[in-house]
Amino acid sequence: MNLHLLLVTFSLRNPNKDYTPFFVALRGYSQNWWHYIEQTVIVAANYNAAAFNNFLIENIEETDSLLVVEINAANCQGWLPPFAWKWIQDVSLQVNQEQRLKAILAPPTKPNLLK
Amino acid sequence: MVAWLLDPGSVFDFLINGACLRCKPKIAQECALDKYYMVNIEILEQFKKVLSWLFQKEVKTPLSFNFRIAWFIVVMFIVMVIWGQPALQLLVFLTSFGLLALLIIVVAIFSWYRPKNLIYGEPGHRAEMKLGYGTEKKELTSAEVSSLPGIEKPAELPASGETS
Repeated sequence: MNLHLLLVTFSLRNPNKDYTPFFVALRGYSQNWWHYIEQTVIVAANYNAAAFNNFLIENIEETDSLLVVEINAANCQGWLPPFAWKWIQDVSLQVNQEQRLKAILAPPTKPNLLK
Repeated sequence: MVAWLLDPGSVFDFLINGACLRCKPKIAQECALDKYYMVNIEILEQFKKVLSWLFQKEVKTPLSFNFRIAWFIVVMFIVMVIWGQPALQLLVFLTSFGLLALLIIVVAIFSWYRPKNLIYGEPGHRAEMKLGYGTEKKELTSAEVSSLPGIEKPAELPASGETS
Protein backbone atom coordinates (compact mmCIF):
# COMPACT_ATOMS: atom_id res chain seq x y z
CA MET A 1 0.00 0.00 0.00
CA ASN A 2 1.19 3.50 -0.80
CA LEU A 3 1.71 6.15 1.78
CA HIS A 4 -0.69 9.07 1.37
CA LEU A 5 -0.58 12.56 2.81
CA LEU A 6 -4.14 13.38 3.82
CA LEU A 7 -5.72 16.48 5.22
CA VAL A 8 -8.58 15.65 7.60
CA THR A 9 -10.85 18.44 8.73
CA PHE A 10 -13.88 17.87 10.90
CA SER A 11 -16.52 19.48 13.05
CA LEU A 12 -17.79 17.31 15.90
CA ARG A 13 -20.90 19.07 17.10
CA ASN A 14 -22.58 16.87 19.67
CA PRO A 15 -21.32 17.97 23.11
CA ASN A 16 -22.91 14.92 24.74
CA LYS A 17 -21.20 12.36 22.54
CA ASP A 18 -17.91 10.79 23.46
CA TYR A 19 -15.76 11.19 20.35
CA THR A 20 -12.86 9.20 21.76
CA PRO A 21 -13.27 6.39 19.16
CA PHE A 22 -12.98 8.99 16.40
CA PHE A 23 -9.63 10.22 17.71
CA VAL A 24 -8.46 6.67 18.39
CA ALA A 25 -9.23 5.78 14.75
CA LEU A 26 -7.55 8.96 13.53
CA ARG A 27 -4.39 8.09 15.40
CA GLY A 28 -4.59 4.36 14.93
CA TYR A 29 -4.88 4.34 11.14
CA SER A 30 -2.19 6.95 10.55
CA GLN A 31 1.57 6.55 10.68
CA ASN A 32 2.28 10.20 11.38
CA TRP A 33 -0.05 12.98 12.39
CA TRP A 34 0.14 16.73 12.50
CA HIS A 35 -2.27 18.94 14.48
CA TYR A 36 -1.49 22.63 14.54
CA ILE A 37 -4.88 23.99 13.50
CA GLU A 38 -8.08 23.34 15.43
CA GLN A 39 -10.22 20.54 14.03
CA THR A 40 -7.74 19.99 11.24
CA VAL A 41 -5.22 17.19 11.09
CA ILE A 42 -2.72 16.12 8.44
CA VAL A 43 -1.88 12.45 8.50
CA ALA A 44 0.44 10.15 6.61
CA ALA A 45 -1.43 6.90 6.18
CA ASN A 46 -1.34 3.73 4.13
CA TYR A 47 -4.87 4.41 2.95
CA ASN A 48 -6.28 6.76 0.35
CA ALA A 49 -8.84 9.43 1.23
CA ALA A 50 -11.85 7.19 0.65
CA ALA A 51 -10.53 4.33 2.80
CA PHE A 52 -9.41 6.66 5.58
CA ASN A 53 -12.80 8.38 5.50
CA ASN A 54 -14.50 5.00 5.99
CA PHE A 55 -12.55 4.44 9.22
CA LEU A 56 -13.54 7.81 10.62
CA ILE A 57 -17.11 8.11 9.43
CA GLU A 58 -18.23 5.22 11.65
CA ASN A 59 -17.49 7.36 14.70
CA ILE A 60 -19.34 10.55 13.85
CA GLU A 61 -22.99 11.56 13.81
CA GLU A 62 -25.22 12.73 10.99
CA THR A 63 -24.96 16.35 12.09
CA ASP A 64 -21.14 16.30 12.23
CA SER A 65 -18.93 17.19 9.29
CA LEU A 66 -15.83 15.51 7.94
CA LEU A 67 -13.61 16.10 4.93
CA VAL A 68 -10.65 13.91 3.98
CA VAL A 69 -8.58 15.06 1.03
CA GLU A 70 -5.22 13.98 -0.33
CA ILE A 71 -2.84 16.92 -0.41
CA ASN A 72 0.26 17.80 -2.26
CA ALA A 73 2.80 19.44 0.00
CA ALA A 74 4.33 21.30 -2.93
CA ASN A 75 1.08 23.02 -3.76
CA CYS A 76 0.20 24.20 -0.30
CA GLN A 77 0.80 27.59 1.21
CA GLY A 78 -0.16 29.25 4.47
CA TRP A 79 0.99 30.64 7.79
CA LEU A 80 2.32 28.09 10.27
CA PRO A 81 5.07 27.71 12.88
CA PRO A 82 8.42 26.56 11.40
CA PHE A 83 8.14 23.16 13.13
CA ALA A 84 4.81 22.58 11.41
CA TRP A 85 6.34 23.34 7.99
CA LYS A 86 9.29 21.10 8.84
CA TRP A 87 6.96 18.19 9.59
CA ILE A 88 5.11 18.68 6.31
CA GLN A 89 8.41 18.83 4.47
CA ASP A 90 9.86 15.71 6.14
CA VAL A 91 6.73 13.60 5.79
CA SER A 92 6.11 14.62 2.20
CA LEU A 93 9.70 13.68 1.36
CA GLN A 94 9.11 10.33 3.04
CA VAL A 95 5.92 9.88 1.01
CA ASN A 96 7.77 10.79 -2.19
CA GLN A 97 10.62 8.39 -1.50
CA GLU A 98 8.24 5.55 -0.74
CA GLN A 99 6.24 6.19 -3.90
CA ARG A 100 9.41 6.30 -6.03
CA LEU A 101 10.66 3.07 -4.46
CA LYS A 102 7.35 1.38 -5.16
CA ALA A 103 7.48 2.59 -8.75
CA ILE A 104 11.01 1.20 -9.22
CA LEU A 105 10.21 -2.16 -7.60
CA ALA A 106 6.89 -2.61 -9.35
CA PRO A 107 6.90 -5.28 -12.10
CA PRO A 108 6.70 -3.92 -15.65
CA THR A 109 3.22 -3.86 -17.06
CA LYS A 110 2.58 -6.36 -19.83
CA PRO A 111 1.63 -4.89 -23.21
CA ASN A 112 -1.97 -5.50 -24.16
CA LEU A 113 -1.66 -7.89 -27.09
CA LEU A 114 -5.35 -7.84 -27.88
CA LYS A 115 -5.17 -4.31 -29.21
CA MET B 1 -39.94 23.85 67.85
CA VAL B 2 -36.76 22.73 69.64
CA ALA B 3 -38.86 20.36 71.68
CA TRP B 4 -40.12 18.70 68.50
CA LEU B 5 -36.67 18.39 67.12
CA LEU B 6 -35.57 16.61 70.25
CA ASP B 7 -38.29 14.07 69.72
CA PRO B 8 -37.09 12.07 66.73
CA GLY B 9 -40.17 9.88 66.65
CA SER B 10 -42.51 12.80 66.03
CA VAL B 11 -40.28 14.28 63.34
CA PHE B 12 -40.17 10.99 61.45
CA ASP B 13 -43.92 10.60 61.89
CA PHE B 14 -44.35 13.94 60.23
CA LEU B 15 -41.87 13.28 57.46
CA ILE B 16 -43.20 9.83 56.68
CA ASN B 17 -46.88 9.89 57.62
CA GLY B 18 -47.62 13.60 57.43
CA ALA B 19 -48.85 13.59 61.06
CA CYS B 20 -48.87 16.85 62.96
CA LEU B 21 -46.14 17.09 65.55
CA ARG B 22 -48.34 18.67 68.15
CA CYS B 23 -51.49 16.60 67.88
CA LYS B 24 -50.21 13.32 66.49
CA PRO B 25 -53.52 11.55 65.98
CA LYS B 26 -54.67 14.17 63.52
CA ILE B 27 -53.22 14.65 60.10
CA ALA B 28 -51.44 17.93 59.47
CA GLN B 29 -54.13 19.51 57.34
CA GLU B 30 -56.71 19.11 60.08
CA CYS B 31 -54.58 20.56 62.81
CA ALA B 32 -55.92 23.75 64.37
CA LEU B 33 -52.41 24.96 65.13
CA ASP B 34 -51.63 26.20 61.66
CA LYS B 35 -48.52 28.05 62.68
CA TYR B 36 -46.87 24.84 63.83
CA TYR B 37 -47.84 23.18 60.60
CA MET B 38 -46.28 26.05 58.65
CA VAL B 39 -43.09 25.74 60.63
CA ASN B 40 -43.04 22.03 59.89
CA ILE B 41 -43.44 22.69 56.19
CA GLU B 42 -40.48 25.05 56.36
CA ILE B 43 -38.40 22.39 58.09
CA LEU B 44 -39.41 19.87 55.46
CA GLU B 45 -38.50 22.26 52.65
CA GLN B 46 -35.11 22.95 54.22
CA PHE B 47 -34.56 19.23 54.66
CA LYS B 48 -35.42 18.67 50.98
CA LYS B 49 -33.04 21.44 49.94
CA VAL B 50 -30.18 19.90 51.89
CA LEU B 51 -30.90 16.46 50.42
CA SER B 52 -31.16 17.75 46.85
CA TRP B 53 -27.99 19.79 47.27
CA LEU B 54 -26.16 16.71 48.49
CA PHE B 55 -27.36 14.46 45.68
CA GLN B 56 -27.99 16.74 42.71
CA LYS B 57 -24.50 16.77 41.25
CA GLU B 58 -22.77 13.71 39.92
CA VAL B 59 -19.40 12.97 41.49
CA LYS B 60 -16.81 13.15 38.73
CA THR B 61 -13.49 13.59 40.51
CA PRO B 62 -11.91 12.18 43.68
CA LEU B 63 -11.83 15.70 45.12
CA SER B 64 -15.57 16.21 44.71
CA PHE B 65 -16.13 12.76 46.22
CA ASN B 66 -14.06 13.74 49.27
CA PHE B 67 -15.94 17.02 49.50
CA ARG B 68 -19.24 15.15 49.45
CA ILE B 69 -18.03 12.70 52.10
CA ALA B 70 -16.96 15.60 54.31
CA TRP B 71 -20.49 16.99 54.18
CA PHE B 72 -21.99 13.62 55.00
CA ILE B 73 -19.71 13.34 58.03
CA VAL B 74 -20.77 16.80 59.20
CA VAL B 75 -24.46 16.02 58.64
CA MET B 76 -24.09 12.72 60.48
CA PHE B 77 -22.42 14.54 63.33
CA ILE B 78 -25.13 17.23 63.53
CA VAL B 79 -27.93 14.65 63.39
CA MET B 80 -26.35 12.66 66.18
CA VAL B 81 -25.79 15.75 68.32
CA ILE B 82 -29.43 16.76 67.97
CA TRP B 83 -31.25 13.44 67.96
CA GLY B 84 -28.72 10.91 69.07
CA GLN B 85 -28.52 9.07 72.33
CA PRO B 86 -26.15 10.75 74.80
CA ALA B 87 -24.12 7.56 75.12
CA LEU B 88 -23.39 7.55 71.39
CA GLN B 89 -22.76 11.26 70.96
CA LEU B 90 -19.17 11.23 72.20
CA LEU B 91 -18.38 8.20 70.04
CA VAL B 92 -19.91 9.84 66.94
CA PHE B 93 -18.13 13.11 67.71
CA LEU B 94 -14.76 11.40 67.96
CA THR B 95 -15.39 9.24 64.89
CA SER B 96 -16.53 12.24 62.81
CA PHE B 97 -13.57 14.30 63.95
CA GLY B 98 -11.19 11.44 63.19
CA LEU B 99 -12.68 10.86 59.73
CA LEU B 100 -12.53 14.55 58.87
CA ALA B 101 -8.93 14.77 60.05
CA LEU B 102 -8.05 11.67 58.02
CA LEU B 103 -9.75 13.15 54.97
CA ILE B 104 -7.85 16.42 55.36
CA ILE B 105 -4.54 14.57 55.66
CA VAL B 106 -5.24 12.36 52.63
CA VAL B 107 -6.31 15.35 50.49
CA ALA B 108 -3.29 17.34 51.67
CA ILE B 109 -0.91 14.49 50.77
CA PHE B 110 -2.43 14.11 47.31
CA SER B 111 -2.53 17.86 46.68
CA TRP B 112 1.17 18.04 47.53
CA TYR B 113 2.47 15.00 45.67
CA ARG B 114 -0.18 14.10 43.07
CA PRO B 115 -2.57 17.04 42.63
CA LYS B 116 -3.63 15.72 39.22
CA ASN B 117 -5.08 12.59 40.85
CA LEU B 118 -7.49 14.70 42.89
CA ILE B 119 -9.08 16.37 39.91
CA TYR B 120 -8.68 13.62 37.35
CA GLY B 121 -12.09 12.49 36.20
CA GLU B 122 -14.17 11.66 33.19
CA PRO B 123 -13.69 15.02 31.40
CA GLY B 124 -9.94 14.88 32.00
CA HIS B 125 -9.78 11.34 30.70
CA ARG B 126 -11.70 12.34 27.56
CA ALA B 127 -9.48 15.36 27.05
CA GLU B 128 -6.38 13.22 27.30
CA MET B 129 -7.70 10.73 24.81
CA LYS B 130 -8.31 13.45 22.26
CA LEU B 131 -5.67 14.25 19.74
CA GLY B 132 -3.20 16.65 21.26
CA TYR B 133 -1.64 19.53 19.36
CA GLY B 134 1.73 19.20 17.70
CA THR B 135 2.83 16.02 15.96
CA GLU B 136 3.30 12.36 16.85
CA LYS B 137 6.93 13.21 17.76
CA LYS B 138 6.26 16.14 20.04
CA GLU B 139 2.89 17.00 21.52
CA LEU B 140 2.19 20.59 22.53
CA THR B 141 -0.45 22.25 24.64
CA SER B 142 -2.97 24.63 23.16
CA ALA B 143 -1.18 27.53 24.87
CA GLU B 144 2.19 26.50 23.41
CA VAL B 145 0.77 26.30 19.90
CA SER B 146 -0.92 29.68 20.20
CA SER B 147 2.36 31.27 21.30
CA LEU B 148 4.35 29.97 18.30
CA PRO B 149 4.99 32.62 15.64
CA GLY B 150 3.99 31.60 12.15
CA ILE B 151 5.85 31.95 8.86
CA GLU B 152 5.02 31.38 5.23
CA LYS B 153 6.04 28.13 3.62
CA PRO B 154 9.83 27.92 3.49
CA ALA B 155 11.39 27.65 0.03
CA GLU B 156 13.02 24.25 0.63
CA LEU B 157 9.73 22.37 0.39
CA PRO B 158 9.61 20.11 -2.69
CA ALA B 159 8.68 21.70 -5.94
CA SER B 160 5.23 21.32 -7.41
CA GLY B 161 4.31 17.86 -8.61
CA GLU B 162 6.92 15.92 -6.64
CA THR B 163 4.58 14.47 -4.03
CA SER B 164 1.85 13.13 -6.24
